[in-house]
Amino acid sequence: MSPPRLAVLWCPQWPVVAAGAALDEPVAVLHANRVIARSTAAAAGGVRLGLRRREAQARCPEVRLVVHDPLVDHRAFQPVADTVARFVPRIELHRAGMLTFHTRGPSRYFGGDRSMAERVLTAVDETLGDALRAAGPPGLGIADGRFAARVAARSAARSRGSEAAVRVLVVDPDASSSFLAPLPLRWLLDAGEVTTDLVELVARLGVGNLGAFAALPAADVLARFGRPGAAAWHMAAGSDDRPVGTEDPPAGLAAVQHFDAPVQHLEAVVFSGRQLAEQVVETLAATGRVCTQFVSIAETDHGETSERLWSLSTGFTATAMVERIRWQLDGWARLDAAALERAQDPDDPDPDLDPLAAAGIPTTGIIQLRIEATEVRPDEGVQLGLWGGRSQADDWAQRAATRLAGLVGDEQVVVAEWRGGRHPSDVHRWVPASLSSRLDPGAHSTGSGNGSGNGSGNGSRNGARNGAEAGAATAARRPPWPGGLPMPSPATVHHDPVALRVVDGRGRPVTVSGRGTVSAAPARVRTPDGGEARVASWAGPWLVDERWWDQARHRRLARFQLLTVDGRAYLAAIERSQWWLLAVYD
Amino acid sequence: MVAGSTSLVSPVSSGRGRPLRVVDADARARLAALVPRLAPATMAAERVVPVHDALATVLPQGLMQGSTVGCTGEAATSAALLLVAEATQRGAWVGVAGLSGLGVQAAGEAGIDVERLVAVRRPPDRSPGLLLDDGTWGQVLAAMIDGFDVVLLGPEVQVRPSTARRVQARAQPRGAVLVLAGEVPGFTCDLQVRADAVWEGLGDGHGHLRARRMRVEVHGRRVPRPRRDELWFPALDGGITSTSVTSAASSPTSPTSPAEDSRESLAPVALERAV
Repeated sequence: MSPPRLAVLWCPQWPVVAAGAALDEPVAVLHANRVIARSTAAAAGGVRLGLRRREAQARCPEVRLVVHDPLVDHRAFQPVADTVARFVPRIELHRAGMLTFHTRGPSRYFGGDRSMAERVLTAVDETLGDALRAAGPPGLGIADGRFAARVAARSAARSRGSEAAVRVLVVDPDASSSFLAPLPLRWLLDAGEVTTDLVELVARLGVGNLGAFAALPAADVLARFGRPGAAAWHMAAGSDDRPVGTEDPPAGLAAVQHFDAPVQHLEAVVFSGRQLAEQVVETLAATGRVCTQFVSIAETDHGETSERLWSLSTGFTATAMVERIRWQLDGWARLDAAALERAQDPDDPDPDLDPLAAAGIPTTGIIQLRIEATEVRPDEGVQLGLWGGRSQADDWAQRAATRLAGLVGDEQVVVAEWRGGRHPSDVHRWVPASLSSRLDPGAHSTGSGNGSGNGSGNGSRNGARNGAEAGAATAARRPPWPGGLPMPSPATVHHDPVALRVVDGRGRPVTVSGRGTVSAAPARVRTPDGGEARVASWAGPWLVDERWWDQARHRRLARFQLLTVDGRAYLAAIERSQWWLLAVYD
Repeated sequence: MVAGSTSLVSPVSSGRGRPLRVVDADARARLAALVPRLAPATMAAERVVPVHDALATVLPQGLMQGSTVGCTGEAATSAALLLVAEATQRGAWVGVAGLSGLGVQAAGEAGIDVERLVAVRRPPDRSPGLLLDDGTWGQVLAAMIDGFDVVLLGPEVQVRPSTARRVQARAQPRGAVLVLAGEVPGFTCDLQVRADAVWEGLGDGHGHLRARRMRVEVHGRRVPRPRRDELWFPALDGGITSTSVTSAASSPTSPTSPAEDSRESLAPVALERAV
C-alpha cells in the first residue's frame, strides 16, 4: 500500500507569533525554564532553543520572555486553520503551528498540487498579515508520506521568500524516498516520535543519512531496534502513512452528547466533553487499545460546525482529549457570554473589525458535541527506564528544592558540581539548584525545539529520563588532580579560611622559607576560639605556587597536615607568614 | 500472596491424596517466612533506611524512618556522612542544612552519591548565628523533611526547642531520617552515635594521613546496652570496613600494599600510551 499524498503547513516558531511579537522585537517563549521558541530578532541576538532563562537573558538582555501557554497558541492558530479549512474538507492538527491535510481532492479541484498549495499559502499569508514576520513566514510541503511532507514543509519555510510560490515545495509522486535520502538523520528527531538515543546509536553504527538507513533491510532494523526503530525506518523510507502499528478503530466508536438547550458556556461543553472522552477511552481500554487520533465535532443550533482532527502518536488519555476539545472550542466559539453578546449586538459599530466574526463565530450555543476515534493502536504502555529512570524520590526532591528556593532565595539552594582543584575547597563548587540540570525535569528534552504544542505529559517524561542518565554518567571515577591532596579528604572545609597561630617548641611562629624549608617543627596550634593543642605529628610543607601568570590571583602557599594530641587532624597552610586553617578532618 | 500460598500447598495436596497434615519441613519454613509479609501492621522497626555494611555491628537494623540520629565526637561529620551513604546509593536524596563547610569530596569518599545532595547554605552577608529567624528555619526544615528522605543538619541550624519538636514530629509520618552532625541545639535524639578517631600514616614531618580507626559507640532509647565497634574509615586501601572483620576476609580485595597497588595500576596506562 503506497502512502497517501499529504500536505503539511508549517509556521515556524509559532508560540512566538501567538505571543504577539512585533517585527524586530526579540521575544523568547519559555517552557519549564527552557526556550522553546524565539523570534528572528532574538535569534540574531544569540538566543538558541533549549537555553535556560538566565542564559537567554545574558545573551540578549532586551529579550522579552513569555511563558508558554498552549491555549494561547491554539487560539491564535484558529484563524489559520479556518483559512485552510475553506479549501479542504478535513484538516488534521498536530500542534499549534502545524497542520496536515490530504491533497487528493483539493489538488484535483484546484488544478494540481502546486496550484492548490500556492492558493492555500497565499490565503494563509493574507490571514496572518504582518504577524508572521517576527518569526519567519510559513512553508507548505507536499509529498508522499507524513514525514516526507513535514520535512518538505520545513525546508520550504526556510527559503523565507515573500512570494508564496517560493515557499511551496512539492515532492513528485513516488519520489519521497529519493527526496529524503541525502538528508541527515537529525531530521528524524523533528517528528518527535524518535528519541535522540536511537538517532545517535544509528549514527554511531556508521549510518550517515536517511537514505542509508532506509537501505537497511526492514526486518533487521526491527530485530535490532524494536518498534521505535521500525517506525524510524518507515519514516526514513518515506513510506509512513500513520504511526506504525495503528489500525482503524472498530466501527461506530463515537460518543455523542446532545444538549436540549443550546449551551453557551465553554466550561459546560468541556465538562460534557470529559464524559465523552472517558467513554471513548474506556471502551478502547476494554479491548486493550488506545486512541492515537480522533475527530471532535461541535455543532450549533444554527447548523454551524467546527470539526478538528487531533493526533498524538503516544495515545490520548481522557485528559489529553479534553485539552484538545477545549483548545478547539475556545478558539472557535469563545463561548463566554460577553463575547456572544458582542457578536449578537446589532448596535456593534463594526462587526467586521474582528476577523473571527467575519470567519463565522457561532451565532448561538452548542447543541451537539461528538467525539470519534479515527485511529487506534494496541496499548503497550510507556516503558519507564529500569535504571536511571526518574523515581518518585526525584520528583519529591525537585519539588522540595523549588519550595526551598522560594523560602530562602534561589542562590541559597545549591547542589555540588565537580570542577577539580588542588585545595579541598576548590574541588567542588556549589551551584544554585535552579541552574543545574540535575533536578530539572526538562533537561536534555528530545526535540525541545519543536515540542511546543505537545501538551500531554509524555514529552516531558522522556526528557526527565535522559536528564537522569546524563547525571549518572558524570559520577564516573576521575583520575587524581595533579597537586591535589591524597585521600582521605577532610569532612569540613573552610571556604573562608580561619586564621591560626602555629608555634615551635620555643614559642616562635613557624615559618617556611622561599625555598620551602620549615623553620622548626610545629609544636603547638592556637585556634582563634582560644583553644590550644600540642601537635602530635605533622607533615609538610607541600608547596603550591598557583596561577603565577596572573598578578591578581597568584597564590603561593605551603600546606601542612597537623595532628594534635587530642586526636584532631587539621589541614593548615601558611601564606605570607600567616597560618590559615583550611579544613578539618572530622 | 495467592501465588505464594498455592505454591506452598500444591506439593502436598497433589501428592496422590496424601493427608494434608504431613507437611514437610521445607513448607513449614516457607510458611513461617510468609507470616511477616501477611501481618496487617507494619512494625516501626521495619521502616528503616539501610546503612553501610561496616555499621552492621552497631546498627544492625539500619536507621528507623522518622527518627533523629545525633553524631558527636571527634569524627562526628564523617560518621554522619557514613550513616547517610547507603541510602543515597539506593536512590534517596539528602538535604543538607547548617553545614556550610561540608566537604563534598569526603562525602563522596564515604560512599554518598553526590548527585543526590541538595544543600541550603547561609546567605552570604550575615553572620553564622543570624542565618534565618526561627520561623523561616521551621519552614525550611519542614520543606526538607517533605522532600528528602534523609536530612543532614549541622550546628549552624538555630531553632528553638519547640520548633525542633515540631520538625521532629513532622518527620515521623513522612518517614524522613534526621541526621545531626555535631551538636545541633534544640533537637532530642532517638539515637546517639559517638565517633572518635585515631589517625595513622602521619609521622613527625613526613607521611600523610592515610587511615583512620574510628571507634563508634551507639546508645539511645531503643538500644538497651551501648553497642561499640571499631571501623577502618578509611582503611589503607580507601575502603570502609569493621576492624572486627578478619584481615583474611579482606585480604583478597587488597593483596598488595597501597604503594605497590598504585605502581601496578600505573603500568598499564604507561603501556597504552607507548602503544
